Amino acid sequence: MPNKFYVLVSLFIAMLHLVGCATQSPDRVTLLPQPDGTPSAIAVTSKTGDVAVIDRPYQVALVSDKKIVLEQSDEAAVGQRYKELMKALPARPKSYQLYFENSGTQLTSASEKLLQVVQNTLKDYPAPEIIIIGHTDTVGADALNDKLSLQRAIYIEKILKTKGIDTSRISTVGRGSRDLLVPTGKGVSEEKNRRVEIRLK
Amino acid sequence: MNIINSNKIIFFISCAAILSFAGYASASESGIIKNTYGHVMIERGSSNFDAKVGDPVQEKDRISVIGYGSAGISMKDETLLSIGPNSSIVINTYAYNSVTREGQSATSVLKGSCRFVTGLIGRINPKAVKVTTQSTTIGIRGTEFIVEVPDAE
Repeated sequence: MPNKFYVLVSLFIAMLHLVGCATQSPDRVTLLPQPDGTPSAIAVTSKTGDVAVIDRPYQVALVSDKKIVLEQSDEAAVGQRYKELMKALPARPKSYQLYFENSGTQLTSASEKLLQVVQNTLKDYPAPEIIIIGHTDTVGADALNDKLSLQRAIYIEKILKTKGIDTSRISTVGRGSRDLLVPTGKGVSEEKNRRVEIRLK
Repeated sequence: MNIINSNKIIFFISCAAILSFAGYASASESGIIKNTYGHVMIERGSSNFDAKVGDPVQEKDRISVIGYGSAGISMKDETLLSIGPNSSIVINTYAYNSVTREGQSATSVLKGSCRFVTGLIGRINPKAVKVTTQSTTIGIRGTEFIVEVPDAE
């Protein structure tokens, strides 16, 4: 009799254990490489306060309530397991610099061509967020440069509008000569500073 | 007189710049749905609706991919997210100041898989970015990673 009871209890405990295991498939945290190859890391903390750091690309932390187990995966396996995630990641933001001839809104011919590239790239950005920031060099009064930088930004916005691009999430700013790409003193004509920065998101 | 005038003009232009900068993004908008495949749903308060490209994502939203499909989201600080099949995430906290680039973000992965490319909030202050699941908290050091929470069965 006590023997039978003992068997039943053990069976019951074994069953509980099985159920427990089934519901406790561990979470998987996978570190991906940085696009520019710089090192990176993440620290994973379990409920019970265990901490593990993963710092190699495609290293995986398997985290359950009781423990953290580390394993090494690779690009192919991660790409296969998470193919939908790879496809659905939105395009990374991109910036372009367009340069202007002296003191006006005339683009240099190289930048005219680049603007065409920007337009083509926009198809990779559904519901595009476009930030246009105008700049000037240090020739002329600050107030005039503020005005000119904004005119440049608005000029680019107008061109994009005429090309049928969705400009509902566009913003234009003039920064005058505050953010020089090439640092210069006052009154210096510098093509690299006469520019509009376009950021696509 | 002249100096006062030009100062006023600069002030005006700066204000206009800041306003137009903030222009399209309403205060409650944390991000934008950039792509959907299959059935993607947003639960906001007591309402829920099918997500489509261009829809804003807000703090407290629960975003789910029902069945086979996926979704891509871009947040204001340039954090990028993709959500896999049979997955649910919640944007618990999201605050971002585009002028100072300071902010706070906390995201939960309830089930399924989510890929993170952390953005400017994390670059300024990695501690300000939190990703959690039922059983784990993830602290970042400027990174890209995937979190998968298997279905409990």
